[in-house]
Amino acid sequence: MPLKVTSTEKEPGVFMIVPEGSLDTNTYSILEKRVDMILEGQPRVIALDMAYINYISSMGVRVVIKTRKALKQHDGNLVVLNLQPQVRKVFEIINALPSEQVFASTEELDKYLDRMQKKMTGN
Amino acid sequence: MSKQIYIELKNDLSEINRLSTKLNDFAEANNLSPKILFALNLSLEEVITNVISYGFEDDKEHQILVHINSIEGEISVEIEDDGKPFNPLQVDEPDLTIPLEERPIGGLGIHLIRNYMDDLEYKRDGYRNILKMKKKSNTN
Repeated sequence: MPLKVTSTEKEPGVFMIVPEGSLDTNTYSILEKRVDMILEGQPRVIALDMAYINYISSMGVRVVIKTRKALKQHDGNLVVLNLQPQVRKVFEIINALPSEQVFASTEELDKYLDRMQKKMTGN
Repeated sequence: MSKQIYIELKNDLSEINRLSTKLNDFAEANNLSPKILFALNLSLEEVITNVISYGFEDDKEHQILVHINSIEGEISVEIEDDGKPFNPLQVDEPDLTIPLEERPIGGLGIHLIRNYMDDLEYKRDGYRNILKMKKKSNTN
């Protein structure tokens, strides 16, 4: 199954990536390339909206783990949202995502970004 | 479609797409639930990716045989290749308590297979690896 990836800069340094389709051996590099491009700008946050990912294998999970590691190197954060149940299960089996970085909705992400913004500005 | 299918794959990762299509047809013909199909797709992809990526030491074309059978509430999958001897069941379990940043990245595939399949069996038969996986299909 193919993979389509779109990305937008939601606010300065905060990128939303929306992959769509199947994240597997044959498609993971499509997402990886997009992520690498965004990482070059040293973003604060990458939000990975997984609402349209219906299948993931270990190669797909590796991209997510790699992204998280790369962001941490300069104090950035990865958050993952809208995981479909079968995809969430794969992450849980591998214990690949700390729960505080998994959001059930875009609203939760917005609240998180608000909190971060307040922390940065000290309000 | 019959209760069993045989698929011959070349050692080329794009073959996994063809396998997935065949598997979807098989699931439909045998009324398998989306959960069972997901488990089969994932486990087969993990095994085949591994065989194609690491199993062959030459640049020649090789065949990987996949036989999938549905009998009395159980799906059995047999994968046969002529790559170098490799028993995936001897791969150490990854230590999932180590923080993600420090964890070695290998071994995730077989860990997933162990979780999604009900029974795994490996044997080396002459110059062939034979991996058998079973999944109960009458649960949900």
